[in-house]
Amino acid sequence: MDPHSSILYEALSKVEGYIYPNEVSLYWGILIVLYPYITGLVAGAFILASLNRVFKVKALRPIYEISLLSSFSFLTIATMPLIAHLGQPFRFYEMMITPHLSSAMAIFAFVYLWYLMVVLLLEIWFDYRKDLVAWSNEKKGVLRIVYKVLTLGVSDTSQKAVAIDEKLGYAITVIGIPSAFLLHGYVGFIFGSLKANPWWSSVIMPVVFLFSAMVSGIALVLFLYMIVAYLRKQKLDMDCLDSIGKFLFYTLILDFVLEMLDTVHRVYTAEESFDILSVLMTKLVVTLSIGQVFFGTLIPVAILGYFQFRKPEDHIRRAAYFIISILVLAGIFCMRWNVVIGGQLFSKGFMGFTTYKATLFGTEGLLSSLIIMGIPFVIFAILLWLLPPWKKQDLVHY
Amino acid sequence: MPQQVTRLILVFAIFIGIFYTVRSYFVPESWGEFGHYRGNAIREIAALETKYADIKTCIECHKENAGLLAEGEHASIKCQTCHGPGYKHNKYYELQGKSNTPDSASMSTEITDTSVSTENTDTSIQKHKSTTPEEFRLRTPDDRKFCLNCHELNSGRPEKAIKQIDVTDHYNMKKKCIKCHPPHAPNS
Ligand code: HEC
Ligand code: HEC
Ligand code: HEC
Ligand code: HEC
Repeated sequence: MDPHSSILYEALSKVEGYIYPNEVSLYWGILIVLYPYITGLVAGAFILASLNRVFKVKALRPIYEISLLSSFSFLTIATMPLIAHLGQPFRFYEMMITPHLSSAMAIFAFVYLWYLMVVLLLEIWFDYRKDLVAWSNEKKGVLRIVYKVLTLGVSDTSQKAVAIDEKLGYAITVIGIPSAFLLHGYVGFIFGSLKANPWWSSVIMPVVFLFSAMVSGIALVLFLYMIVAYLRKQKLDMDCLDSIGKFLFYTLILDFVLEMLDTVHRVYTAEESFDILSVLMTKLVVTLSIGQVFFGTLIPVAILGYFQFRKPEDHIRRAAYFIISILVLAGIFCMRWNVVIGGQLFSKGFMGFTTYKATLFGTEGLLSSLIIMGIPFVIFAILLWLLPPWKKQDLVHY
Repeated sequence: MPQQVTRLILVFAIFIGIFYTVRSYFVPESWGEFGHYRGNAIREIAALETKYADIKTCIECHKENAGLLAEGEHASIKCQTCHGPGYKHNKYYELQGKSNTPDSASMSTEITDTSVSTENTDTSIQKHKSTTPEEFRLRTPDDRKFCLNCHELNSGRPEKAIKQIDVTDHYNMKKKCIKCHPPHAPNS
């Protein structure tokens, strides 16, 4: 066989039925799965922080800083999968210096900047300003300079100044909630607005993305809170865990109901894409039925639901919360996978399927995704060391 | 205004200032000249060597072939599909002021023996012998393989769109296709 046809036959061995030539290999691989996953974690963790601050859920106080810092650490790398995915990664800045306002994709840079600079950084700064001033006086050497720079030269810690921090921080959290909705609603919009793809094209997509973001963000904070407490050999605040569990329970149910609504709507309207989508569902059994629905939703909902009525002993609840946080995080990852990869597996002619196998190496491979997923945890650790919430002066002020 | 706020405004002003400085440095010079892209991109593309000549120009000089083609089954195929892009060829003859219409003196068709080709055992075929210098000559693909690119039986091709033949079972398996099907009017 000549080399030309051997490439063709290799490609054909991956497809089923009739498929257009440009659909044989996927353009959006595992990196693009990470992108909504990471921004979801950012938005979700932030919303959890705002529950404490704006909606005055007192029980969530112990995780306020952890939520903010974890949200921030994931936001710093949110653009990494996108940049690594670009054919010309070193040209990414062009999108920001010559913005094209009619391109939804190009707008992300601005949504991102707004969220990073105006919401998260400011909120963290106002929250920590008083402590930064104190630490910059206590510490010596390089750290002292670092803290000094972080105070931006403002050293006023009078009652009045702190009250202003408080007020402005509050205002920013209030702005932050719609911004978090915007950030992740935007990601859902990117998929939902692709009218050529029936698996994505749905007005409910931004809403589904938003709720799944909250679910994953809450699970992330739950996970990090337990890990941090374990490493610091601190006792977990069971009240806090229970109320995180409660919010996780509610958002999980809402998220699941919304997805079911979408599914029921598809089944009932049964548009021309319905047949291929039902076959697609059977191809996504592992990630959809088992990963997303069974382990990612039903089991956590059952356990959390049980906890709403009966409270087993603390150590059992602790173990359950820890397992649930991991299950939910994995479940939402599966959900992103099903959306991004699932939407590219079937032919736009509705007559065939292709397959996707992530490679191990290369910028779009598994390894680089793992590295990208690992970085925020490192950033989070550094932030905790630099801005330890447990060393703040007044731990209970709201 | 409280000190924090004035300081933040200053920091943001510096940040925006840096952004605009960087921007003025990185945005390409001709950007935005005609639209949302680098104006020079157009000039760079325009400066590339032209390779493709429009079919209208071919018709000006090759009225006979064009006429045959337009009436035959290959009417939907452009000259360039079989002969190549042809810009150089075109320019060469334009400069020479020649045309290849039947009344033109430059027409020279001879009968040549092509049996030298190892692939082809077909002798005594009417072969057009070109007087065009090598560099400006267009290809005249008269071998079976060329036609089979499009006409060989292939289950992936709808028979409605293009007629296909089973090469193992189509008349003479050695003869050139153009012996029976003139390329410009294959069914005549
Ligand atoms: C289906 C493919 C095909 C298309 C389309 C085609 N040709 Fe040809 N042409 C050939 C082949 C094959 C030969 C060689 C014939 C031979 O060797 O006898 C040829 C030969 C010629 C010759 C050499 C002299 C002659 O008449 O044999 C000229 C001139 C020519 N083509 C012009 C054109 C022009 C002008 C067009 C577009 C209007 C065109 N051709 C479209 C396949 C094609
Ligand atoms: C300015 C007139 C002119 C134009 C325009 C022109 N040709 Fe020619 N072409 C000629 C002449 C003259 C010959 C020489 C004929 C010969 O040697 O018998 C020729 C020869 C050919 C041949 C035979 C092989 C060769 O190169 O000698 C082919 C095939 C051909 N032309 C195709 C085309 C195609 C296709 C186009 C359009 C892209 C085209 N020609 C445009 C004048 C022209
Ligand atoms: C670029 C693709 C292409 C190439 C190369 C090509 N053809 Fe065709 N041929 C077609 C198309 C398209 C038709 C018209 C559609 C059809 O088959 O009915 C056609 C029609 C024909 C027909 C008429 C079929 C019928 O009865 O309707 C014959 C005979 C034929 N070609 C022979 C040839 C020969 C001989 C050659 C080689 C010189 C050749 N073709 C090269 C595309 C091609
Ligand atoms: C010995 C003469 C001869 C040769 C050589 C020959 N053909 Fe034919 N071809 C015919 C005749 C006669 C017909 C019309 C009767 C038929 O359909 O079988 C035909 C029909 C066709 C058709 C139309 C088939 C259809 O379904 O209507 C195509 C396409 C074709 N030939 C392509 C080619 C190609 C390509 C080659 C070279 C590989 C070739 N032929 C070689 C004589 C020939």
